[in-house]
Amino acid sequence: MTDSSSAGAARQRAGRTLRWPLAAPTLIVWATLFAVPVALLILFSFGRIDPSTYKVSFGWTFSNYSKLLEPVYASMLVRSLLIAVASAFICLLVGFPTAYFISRCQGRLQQLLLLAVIIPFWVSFIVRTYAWVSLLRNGGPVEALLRGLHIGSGALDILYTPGSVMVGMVVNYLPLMILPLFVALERVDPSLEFAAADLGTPPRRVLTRVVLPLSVPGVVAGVVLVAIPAAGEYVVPAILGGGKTSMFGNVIFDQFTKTGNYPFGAALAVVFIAFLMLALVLARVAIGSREDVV
Amino acid sequence: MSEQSPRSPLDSRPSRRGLFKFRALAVGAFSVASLLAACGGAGSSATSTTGAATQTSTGPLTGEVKFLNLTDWIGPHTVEDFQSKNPGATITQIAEDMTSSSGPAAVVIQNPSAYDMVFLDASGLGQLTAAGQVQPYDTAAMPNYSAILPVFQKAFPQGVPLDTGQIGIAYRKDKVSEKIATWKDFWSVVPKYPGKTILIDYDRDVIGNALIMLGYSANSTNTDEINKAKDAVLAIKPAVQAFKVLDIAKSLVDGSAYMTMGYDFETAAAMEKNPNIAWVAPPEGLVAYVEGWVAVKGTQHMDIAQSFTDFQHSPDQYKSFVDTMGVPNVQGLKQPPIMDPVPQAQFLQYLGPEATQAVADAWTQIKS
Repeated sequence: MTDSSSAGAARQRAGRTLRWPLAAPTLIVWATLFAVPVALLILFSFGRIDPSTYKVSFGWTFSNYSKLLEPVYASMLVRSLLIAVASAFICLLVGFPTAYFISRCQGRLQQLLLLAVIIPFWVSFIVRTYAWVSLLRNGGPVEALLRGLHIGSGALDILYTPGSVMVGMVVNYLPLMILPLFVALERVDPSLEFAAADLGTPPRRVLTRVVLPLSVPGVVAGVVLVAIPAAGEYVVPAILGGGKTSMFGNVIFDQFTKTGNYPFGAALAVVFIAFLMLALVLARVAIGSREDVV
Repeated sequence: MSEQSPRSPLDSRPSRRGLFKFRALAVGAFSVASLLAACGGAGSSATSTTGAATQTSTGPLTGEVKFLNLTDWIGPHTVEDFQSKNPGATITQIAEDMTSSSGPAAVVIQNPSAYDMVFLDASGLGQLTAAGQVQPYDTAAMPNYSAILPVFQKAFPQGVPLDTGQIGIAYRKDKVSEKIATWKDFWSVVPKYPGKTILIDYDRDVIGNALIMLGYSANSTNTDEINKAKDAVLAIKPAVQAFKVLDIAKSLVDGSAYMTMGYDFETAAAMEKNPNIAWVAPPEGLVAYVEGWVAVKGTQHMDIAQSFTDFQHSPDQYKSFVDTMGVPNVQGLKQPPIMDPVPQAQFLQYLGPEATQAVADAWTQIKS
């Protein structure tokens, strides 16, 4: 055995020895802040609540999960997932050209545009959402704009509709789509687009055959970043939806804070987590081995 | 009876439960914000003050009382004034979600050692009492307790009532051509004006008035009746603009809504701004509530809780509270006539565990 190979083996042994002590702080944080709470959530989901005393007993019942099959909860789950997908899709439609434009700008202009995307995050999520109440109400700026464009007349009643909920979802989550798209698109070498154009490829095909395939990691990351929190959203429907259309997040919130039914709330949360994890796995499969972004 | 000072404009008033709703959403949104890791800080759940001392016949008060309360649902200077008089006592307020009938009591029942006092309505008080988690006040040792009208003392046993109110019909006479005098009228007119009705976002209030409309008691514990009430609400839901806790009466003032099922005190303020707004207390009945402060069993600071509660009902502090909030009072102070309880008012009571769950389930279906 040579000196260099024995030194390498020694380093490997030392690495193996130090691996766990070095990882311990992270593992402790992970276990304390993630694994234990999730384990408790799962434990509670099999519990039963005494409606008089609100004490939880653990009899390993599946009744909380069977209750989930009731149409009201199943429909809310489906609705939440559909709204999440729709929000992500609209954010992608709006965010992609925006991110592409920003990625092709240079210097200070690019920094200013990125700043414009980020600035809304400096304001509370709730304040931003409430601001849209003023914008979307009857007689508000949005209605005035639509009237100016001859889209509808009289009171348009935009606020407290599914449309206003969708507007709230898109405007609140759009930056989360634009930023990963920007990162992915900025990495696309412009010379590839020039080369494709030189070879006679029309701009639309350059976009679909060169830019889009290379930006898939950003697209997937953006969709995940938007769809996951959007699926659990409950603030936007409560404020911009007029409280008429609950999403799954609203029901979970209510179980913990209003009806005090922790076991059922936990079961709802566990099922929801399972659905979201499934979505993440599918996203990872979709992106394949392109890049580890999910 | 003493006179209240002129009330503040509608816009400056905190809505009952409304302020908390905002806070509750803020607290909840924090988890969303955490997920996003970038959504800006939503609110924290607690407001606290530190302070000073008081002097009683039994010696200085020392310690901290944790008070689960609606955000700012207290005299504007009550905590500071109490603490300045009692340098060893601290009142720490914790924001409460009172957007459902059973929520706050359930929170306390599940973790009673975390609180010394809680703000509840009579229904919540009944819930807490049934769970054996109420520490009765020694009202004989509270000089200001006698200022509270006996009817409210009786309606809020073992606790100390703070305010009251009724949930009736308000509508714009210049926008709605039909006459609305009863709940049946309301239910039949709502579909004629799609998107122009706002219902209060509180389970017992809406379901209770639907029960009355159907000829039942607002405190019905019959599951079939509760489900019929749910169906009645669902029948008009397509024409409902929103379920709201904020700006219900304001929507009447600006004309974005023509009809509401809302609070008497909010409507009273709105009527000052727009004379076309009418208030209806249906003769068949309407939901009413009384709410106040309750000491939690096992509190180590009952002396502070009792002294603080009595302090809130001292003439200056109580007048300040009522003037600021504009709510119907329990001390018989002069107020707009529509805020005086009507004989047909049905005060909400605790329904028992099964019916409470039935109402919660019905509300989930209504809101879904």
